[in-house]
Amino acid sequence: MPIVVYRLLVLGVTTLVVVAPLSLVVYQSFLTAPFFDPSAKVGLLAYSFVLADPDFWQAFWTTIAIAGGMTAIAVPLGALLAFLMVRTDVPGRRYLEPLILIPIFVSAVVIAFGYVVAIGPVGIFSTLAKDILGFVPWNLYSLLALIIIAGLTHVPHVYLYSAAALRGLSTDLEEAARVSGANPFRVAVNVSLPMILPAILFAGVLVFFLGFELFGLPLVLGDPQDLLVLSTYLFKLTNKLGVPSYQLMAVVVVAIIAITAPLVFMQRMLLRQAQRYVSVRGKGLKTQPLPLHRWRWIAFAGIILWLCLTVIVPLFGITLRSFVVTWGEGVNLLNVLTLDHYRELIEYPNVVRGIFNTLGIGVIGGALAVACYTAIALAVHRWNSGWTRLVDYLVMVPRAMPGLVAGLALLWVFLFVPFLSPLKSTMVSIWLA
Amino acid sequence: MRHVISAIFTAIVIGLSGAALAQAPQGYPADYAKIVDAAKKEGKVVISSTTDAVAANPLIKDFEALYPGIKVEYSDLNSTELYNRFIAEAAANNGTADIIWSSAMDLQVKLVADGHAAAYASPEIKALPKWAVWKDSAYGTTYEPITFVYNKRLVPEGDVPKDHTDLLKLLNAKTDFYKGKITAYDPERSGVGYLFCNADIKDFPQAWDLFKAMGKAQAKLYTSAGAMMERVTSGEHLIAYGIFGSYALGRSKKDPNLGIILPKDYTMVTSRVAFISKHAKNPNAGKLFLDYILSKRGQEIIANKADLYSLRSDVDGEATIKGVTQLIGDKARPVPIDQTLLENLDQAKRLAFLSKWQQAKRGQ
Repeated sequence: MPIVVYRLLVLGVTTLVVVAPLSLVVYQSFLTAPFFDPSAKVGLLAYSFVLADPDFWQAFWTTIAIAGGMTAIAVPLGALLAFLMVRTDVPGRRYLEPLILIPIFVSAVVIAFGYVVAIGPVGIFSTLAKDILGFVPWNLYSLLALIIIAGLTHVPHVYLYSAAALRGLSTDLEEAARVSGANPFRVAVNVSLPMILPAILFAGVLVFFLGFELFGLPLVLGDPQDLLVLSTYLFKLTNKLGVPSYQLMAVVVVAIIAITAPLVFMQRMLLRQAQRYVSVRGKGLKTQPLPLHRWRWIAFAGIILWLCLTVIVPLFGITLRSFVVTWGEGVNLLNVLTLDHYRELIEYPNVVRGIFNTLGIGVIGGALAVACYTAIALAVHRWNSGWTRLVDYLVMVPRAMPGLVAGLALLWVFLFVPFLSPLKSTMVSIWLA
Repeated sequence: MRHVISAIFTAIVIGLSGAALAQAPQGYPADYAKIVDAAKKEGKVVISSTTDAVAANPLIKDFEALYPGIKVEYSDLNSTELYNRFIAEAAANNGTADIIWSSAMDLQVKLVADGHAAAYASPEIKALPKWAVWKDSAYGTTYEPITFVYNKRLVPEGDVPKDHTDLLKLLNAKTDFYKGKITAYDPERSGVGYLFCNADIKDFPQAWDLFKAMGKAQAKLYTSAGAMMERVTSGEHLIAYGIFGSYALGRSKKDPNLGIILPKDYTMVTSRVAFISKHAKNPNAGKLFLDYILSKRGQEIIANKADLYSLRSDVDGEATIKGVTQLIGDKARPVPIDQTLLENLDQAKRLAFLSKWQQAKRGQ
């Protein structure tokens, strides 16, 4: 079919898939009751309630602080990591790569809980520190700790984008810089990374959006401290008035969209700036790793340090917990080892089905998602039209919607649009979300 | 040869008793068999519940053994998801699950009051306590005492509070020792927490003093009993206020460090409420399942295998109404399943309570 029809078709489907649940949510925010309740009236009651609630503002600013802080941590570290892994001869590159991607797969709640067991107030390392130093020098339940953990666990996201971009560049410019006397760090900062600025910018905005979506981490680590973020505030709203009040939740989502939509705009502006510069270079495509000489092992140590803090510490905590009956202050771990938890797991009727479902969604769903995104990318490629801007927003904004609301909104769409209802109980609906 | 004959004989006996079981249970009305037949034609029962799948598994297996031909489709969700999903499905006229079984007593009563339940007088009603049945639609299915739990390793023997007054005295006397070490459900973020606080206000004249003392001791508030118990057993916290006896019992069997107290001045008792949905696709199978979990057979499994507590007085064991009465006599205060629960959902009352609660959290 002619390319224009294809483009418009893809655009239409994408718009529908994204805009349908979103517009339902926005509509809901202007009502006084669930939209399917016959007593619902149009009004701004929901807005006045939420905007007058000090909890909302606390959650709002905390979320911005966390999203900003974690972007500030994840972007430089991720970009540097990508440079080290893809462009230099840091040792162990091949084995480290899969390990670096682990935080993306592991559920945030699992990571958070692993940290509690490992470095929480009565965690394994904390009690060790207490024995040696007399006190615990860190506080896991603080805003700072939350920002640091969120930042460190999102390094892989930045890494993925930056590494992919770097792999597409030839190394002749870097070699030229080296030959002119720049040390590897200068090469990274002044030559390689600026060339992949679009990818880094994109990753940065994505990480900021993911900051809004964070739920598991602030739930486990912020819960007892009354540290609220927008997604846990949403969770609080479901209970505050006794009955889940969708209109209040919808207002929060509108607030999130109000922040994230301008950000996409800003990202596009920045990208346009970045694309004003063109590098004049040779045509070679050979890629030679940059020798680091003295810095080889330091770089390696840096990577291992990040891996320890982000992956090994929490996974160690959670693995240890699965093998002990109890833990904490006053417990000698060697006394409480057990395999009982594993034996019990086998009795869980839904576990096997759950594992298959997750694998199914991961593999088949992942492949389908890639296909969809490829279709979208193809449609937009080299299309000089205002529609491409729309696609940018459509693709990015849902990333910021907390899972809680996305799930609800899709449930409603599937339920109330008649021809879709048979699909609701299937995995299709979960995949779409 | 003898073995073959006895094997055949045994098989015949089992076959016959199996066939007998497939008909109406003892003491049921004669036309119950019609419901059983209709249910078998439906072929399945869909249950939407907040009870953990592992706890419910013995019940499901036994029900399927009792009524072969009826498959159980069981989903365990949290109480908010369950409510959200149910009202959306009901509004979309798409049919809902057959049995709705949730520990959120107030939300369940609201759904029944809003007309979503099918009225059905179960044959088991006469064996149930009066407070457990409302309008022949909402049925309490368990008898779960609300307990204190504490860390046996780290809480000094003399400190262990035997009732609410003891706890109040302890927190006022040793505020520094217990600073940050007390934990409870958050009434703001958890429907269960709100229910507990309000029941306390009804049953304990010094309830607000207790809340203020907890505020002064910087009590940490959670939305999940599992999180609270985990932190008590690890020693991060020392005492948890308001934990379902069923969860505590289950946990203490695995972890001997967890101590459980049924307060002797009064112990609140909650019950998981079940009803048959008016929009059910398999209403007869739903009736069978409801009657089953209220029957002696089902309640025995609830008490002894599912680590929930049974509310029938003819069931023996620790996790039963008999067992609880032995421990606290007549001090049990079951939350009645009726329209008074709806007061909990009154917005104005909630907001008024929550602002008073915020003050108490600051110790005022």
